[in-house]
Amino acid sequence: MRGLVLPAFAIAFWEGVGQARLIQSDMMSRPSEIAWAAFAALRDGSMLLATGQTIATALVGLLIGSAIGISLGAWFGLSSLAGRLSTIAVELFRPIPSVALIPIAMLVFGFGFGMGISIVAFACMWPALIITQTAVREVPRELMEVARGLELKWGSRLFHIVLPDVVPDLFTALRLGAGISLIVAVTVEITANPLGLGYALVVAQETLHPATMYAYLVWIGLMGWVLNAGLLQAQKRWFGRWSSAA
Amino acid sequence: MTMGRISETLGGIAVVLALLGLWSLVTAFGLVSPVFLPPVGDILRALVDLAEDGSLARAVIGTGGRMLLGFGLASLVGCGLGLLTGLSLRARAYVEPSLEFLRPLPASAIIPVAVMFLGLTKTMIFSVIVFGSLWPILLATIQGIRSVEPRLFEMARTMELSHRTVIVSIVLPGALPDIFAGLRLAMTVSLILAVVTEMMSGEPGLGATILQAARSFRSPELFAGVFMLGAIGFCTSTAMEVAQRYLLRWRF
Amino acid sequence: MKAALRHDMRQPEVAARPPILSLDKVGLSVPLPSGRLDILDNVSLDVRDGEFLSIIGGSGCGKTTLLRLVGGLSVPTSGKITFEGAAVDRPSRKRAVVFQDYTKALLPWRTVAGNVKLALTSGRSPPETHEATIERLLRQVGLLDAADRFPRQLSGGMQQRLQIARCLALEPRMLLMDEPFGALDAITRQNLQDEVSRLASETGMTVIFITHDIEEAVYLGDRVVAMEGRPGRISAVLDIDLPRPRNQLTTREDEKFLCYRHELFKYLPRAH
Repeated sequence: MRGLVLPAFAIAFWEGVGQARLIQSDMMSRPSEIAWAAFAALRDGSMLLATGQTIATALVGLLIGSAIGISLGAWFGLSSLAGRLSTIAVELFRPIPSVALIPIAMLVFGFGFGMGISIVAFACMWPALIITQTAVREVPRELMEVARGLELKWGSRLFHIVLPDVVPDLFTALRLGAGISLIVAVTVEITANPLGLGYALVVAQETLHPATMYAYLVWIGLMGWVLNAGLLQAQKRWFGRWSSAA
Repeated sequence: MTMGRISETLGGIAVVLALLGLWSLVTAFGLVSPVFLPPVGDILRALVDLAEDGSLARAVIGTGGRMLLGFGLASLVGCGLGLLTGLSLRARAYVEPSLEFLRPLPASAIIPVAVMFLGLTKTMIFSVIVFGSLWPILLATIQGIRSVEPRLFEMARTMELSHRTVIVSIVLPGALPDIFAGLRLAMTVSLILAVVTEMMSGEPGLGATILQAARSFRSPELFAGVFMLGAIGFCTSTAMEVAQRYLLRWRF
Repeated sequence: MKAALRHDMRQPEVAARPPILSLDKVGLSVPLPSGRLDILDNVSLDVRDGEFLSIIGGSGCGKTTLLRLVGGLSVPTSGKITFEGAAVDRPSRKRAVVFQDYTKALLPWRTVAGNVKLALTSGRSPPETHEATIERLLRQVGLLDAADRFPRQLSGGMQQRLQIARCLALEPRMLLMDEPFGALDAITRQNLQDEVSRLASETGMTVIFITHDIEEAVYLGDRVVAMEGRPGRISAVLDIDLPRPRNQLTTREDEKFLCYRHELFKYLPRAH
């Protein structure tokens, strides 16, 4: 409960200072004004539309990026040769900041969902790849011995032995990817893409509507927090007893 | 280096060359428009041109310099604040929940706010980089302090160690693994924020360069710039890796 | 008789000196939602200077708590603890503690020598002498060859020896050891028993040694205190009249050894 003291105090203080006109500034907004702006944005649907756009971008990008990342990671994990040969290539491409690809995406896709999705996919691909590769590689030797002993074929081996051992880590990859996808989607929107929450944030700032801007800021933070907390809970509930992949 | 490692490295390089070869094939056969995927040769030539007239160096120093300075300041402030907060159980109880809430917030979301207050200036860029990189370090420091083995504090009491000794010899080294993780994360954040703020403000740097190149459809220059950004990312993360391996060698 | 049998430097009048440590009706109880829980009740004990005191008891009888109270890590809720005439209310370098979980009590990021050095840096000896002291101590516990290794690279026995070396660097008057050899294999345990015994007689330190192993307690101690029950109480104090230096083979076959062992067996809890 003590954790609420600081924010509660900060909000109360901020509101009080604003109400008493102690600080006169057209760049600061009182919490009450921010709440009001949020309410207005929700009511006229603009906030919900922007949220939908960002979520769509993030989700599709996450799915595409994770699919590619998990596939490659599984390959590199199962085949140690592929894993060792691909290391250099991966280490060369991975450090490219996803935002650096914005201009390329702009050329290829123009403004719109394509730009956002492609960059989110690039960003989400790498953690998925690495986590999957490590998870598959570290499937306990004994399990693989069992598989060989039972003379399971490749597909069966994959499905019945490797997959269950690896699923909690896959979920971790998705959870991390979800966080990244949201952050990257918003970043792309702030930088260049004229849709979604990031763009709404920038528009509010450029049209001199500080209260709306802060409202979107809080909203974005809230969404990120809810998403992260929700996924953590889901992981604990579904995989808590399974393994300690967290 | 064993034979195995050497051949592995050569194999890895061969894979990269093969990918570049594939790239060249695709561009040679015109399968993709050169605007989307310029030939490797053009990119190299653009790189050389930019290097020759000094604009590459300026751009790299601009982006890299801002990133490193911002990161450096954020490290000091983040560690310092993290130490102050982390060492006090009471401070932690009040502050940690708020920090946890701020953790998933995209650092870039702070940019419009900063622009509102500071305009599209160098100060805005620097402030954004520092502010954005600060949080991962702060959080990591607090987490690191929390993870220090409690038995060590009892041991310190029985040896009547001074507060200073406890902090320098026990808390900081014990928290270092987590702090390092935070530093590496902050490093990537600082690069991202440097690029984004440059794109938005037009301040000279790689971010502005590649955006300009894209707008003028000068793809080789664009890709050259992206390559340089990747190089910066690679060098900084490798440097961190090396530093980590030395400082944390006691773990292995 | 006892004093004359000891092969150490102490005077025969040692028994007449005031005790170095005195526990007077010491008790510890902790608050619980349902009331209070007594962990220790009415423990009184005098420990003589230079004595090797073993404390045995089943788990939960409070012997670790007792050690922590003597070490100053906790404070009794009733009664008084006096060390060298002064009340014990906080930890002190003079009462060095050897923890049971040695891995957690060593600094993983410092070498063997570095760990010992930590104990020296907060002491009063001049820095120039540190290196020589570290070398001497490491040689004393047999870790000189491992001086540049990290704790992670040491075996359990070596880690425990490192902890002992570090405690010796504090130049304590008393060594408090909490089941120090419990997690080690039998051979290492025997070696370390002899080492601690030797170190104690060489330095004249008082040692309070907690163990659940009767034979270890008898083998090492000048006296054995048996504790039992919840709350913890002293149920017996036995003087151990065995020749020193002790020997793993001959001492353990000594008739008196077996008698003591037999006697103390009564005070350990039965397995149900």
